[in-house]
Amino acid sequence: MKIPVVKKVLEANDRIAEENRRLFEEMKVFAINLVSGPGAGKTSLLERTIEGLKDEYRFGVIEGDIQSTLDAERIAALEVPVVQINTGGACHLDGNMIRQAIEKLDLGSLDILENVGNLVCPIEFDIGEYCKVMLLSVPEGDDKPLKYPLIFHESRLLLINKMDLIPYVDFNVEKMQKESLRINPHLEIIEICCKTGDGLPSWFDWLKDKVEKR
Amino acid sequence: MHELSIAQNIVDILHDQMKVHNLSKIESVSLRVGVLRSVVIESLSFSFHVLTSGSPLEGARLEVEEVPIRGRCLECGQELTLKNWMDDCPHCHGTRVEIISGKELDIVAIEGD
Repeated sequence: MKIPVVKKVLEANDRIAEENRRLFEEMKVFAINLVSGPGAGKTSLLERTIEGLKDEYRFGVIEGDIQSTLDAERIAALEVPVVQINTGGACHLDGNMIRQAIEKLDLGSLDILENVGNLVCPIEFDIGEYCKVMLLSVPEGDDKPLKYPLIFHESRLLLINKMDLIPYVDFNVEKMQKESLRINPHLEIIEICCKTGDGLPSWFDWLKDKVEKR
Repeated sequence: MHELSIAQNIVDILHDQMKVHNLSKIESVSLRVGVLRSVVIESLSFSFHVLTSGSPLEGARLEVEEVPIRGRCLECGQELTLKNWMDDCPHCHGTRVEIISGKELDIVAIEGD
């Protein structure tokens, strides 16, 4: 007996993610899902963002890692509420992990959900964020849009980090930007360097603009 | 390894559906998977096999239909099927093509008794 059923495979996750989204809206929380490969500088970006905007927003941070509390310790040192999720092997955050974490977190007005470092799996699972911000560092190579197109397609903003290393690596910024825009014509792109601070004011302006317009 | 999480979701849905339709056995499950989902079908089948061994779902087959990428040219407005992300619009050769489908991940039918 063949039975037609139309079910979204990830509907259980999507339902919880929608509940998270509703909760964020009710509490006037602006939540972004920060995605990148490992070592692109997500936690450094968070540190610089908190330092730069702590007088304007109350921050809350959720850190996703397979194991360890290293990232949460770095954020806690800035006296910002933080919850560490250890996925215990899973390569991404999902809606339910975030739901459990927000029960423990003193939510701020600007909350950053730092996903597990991975260019593939985090993109499959909605966690209830307002938008995805992708970070790519130049030592990772300029071939990433061709190799991992979905993350470029799903992100609202691409931050290109570690621009101070451009003289030492073969990274064609113009080619990479052009290919990213072929995948996602609506993608916004900002070049930054967390170490020197270059470009960070443009990122802060982008964030402030989005928080205000929400 | 997101295939394991996806397979677990399929298993959960099938257990529900068995109750809803009063089935004791499932022979096959038809899925529609968009090309953009970057789901490795072999990994998905393997994960599904591992998760269902020794359960009432043991032996159920996953039948996967791949859904191609569809886009809309932002310059001439034509809708088109894309072979890959970087294709130009074949009508006006525009380079700004917005993706409109190819991210499906749906169960569309189950077969069982």
